[in-house]
Amino acid sequence: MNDEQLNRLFKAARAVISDTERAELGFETRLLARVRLERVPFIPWAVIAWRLMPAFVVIVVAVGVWAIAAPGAGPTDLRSVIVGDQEERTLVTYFTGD
Amino acid sequence: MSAPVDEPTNERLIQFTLAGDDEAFAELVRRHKRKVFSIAARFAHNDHELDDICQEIFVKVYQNLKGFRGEAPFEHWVSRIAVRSCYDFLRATRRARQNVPLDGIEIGVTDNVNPARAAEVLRWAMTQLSADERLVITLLELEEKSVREVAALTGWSESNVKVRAHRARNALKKVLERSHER
Repeated sequence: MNDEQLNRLFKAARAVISDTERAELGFETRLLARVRLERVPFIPWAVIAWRLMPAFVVIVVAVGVWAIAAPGAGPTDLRSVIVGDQEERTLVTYFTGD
Repeated sequence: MSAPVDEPTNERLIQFTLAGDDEAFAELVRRHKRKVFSIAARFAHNDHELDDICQEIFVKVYQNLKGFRGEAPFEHWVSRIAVRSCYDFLRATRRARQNVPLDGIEIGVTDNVNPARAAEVLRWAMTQLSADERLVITLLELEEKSVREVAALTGWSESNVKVRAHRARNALKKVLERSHER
């Protein structure tokens, strides 16, 4: 195939105008629907966490204040909870003779 | 008698769009879709693909509207986005196109070439080319753009466009010869 043949092929192909009218129908509507859909902002987790930071700070401060202001808590060890009361009774019995 | 209503300029519509007026963007699309569809139709194989490419182009236009400085006419800016999007589309679909069978396509280039047949043959032969070969042939030979215009649309230098055009023509000739031999 030479250049002349190729040019003839191009010339003939140029004469064919594709009809896009059917594809253009309602195009704006479809496009705007997609644009609106893509406009809904995607919020990553890091941003959500950052926005919730004041709430976290308030919770931490409240827990801290409560921990300081609350009356002294009892022993947290299970054994000392059970044995602690018995020791006291044994002492009272010893001193009072009851 | 009522005064004639002036149509808003592209710049005004862009301002309205940036302010959140969707109807202004719809008007911009209405004004420029014919041009965009005519570019994309050279690369799409059916209405569905055509719609996809054109939507992609206008979504990019919408997303980059803030970056439009008005240094070149809006039409040129949109055309540039359209050409680059078509190029991306060609690159993305190249692998799938390579498997189109040759059966049923007989290539004979005589003096009297039937336009519809020529378009069909060329469309098939172009599927065998790379994305940049196809783009440069389409713009130079089918859209009849100048080398300078192709350079502006693609972002390639003028000498690069010439080299690619030369290679693309040779590749196309080979494809047509090869399929003619079969």
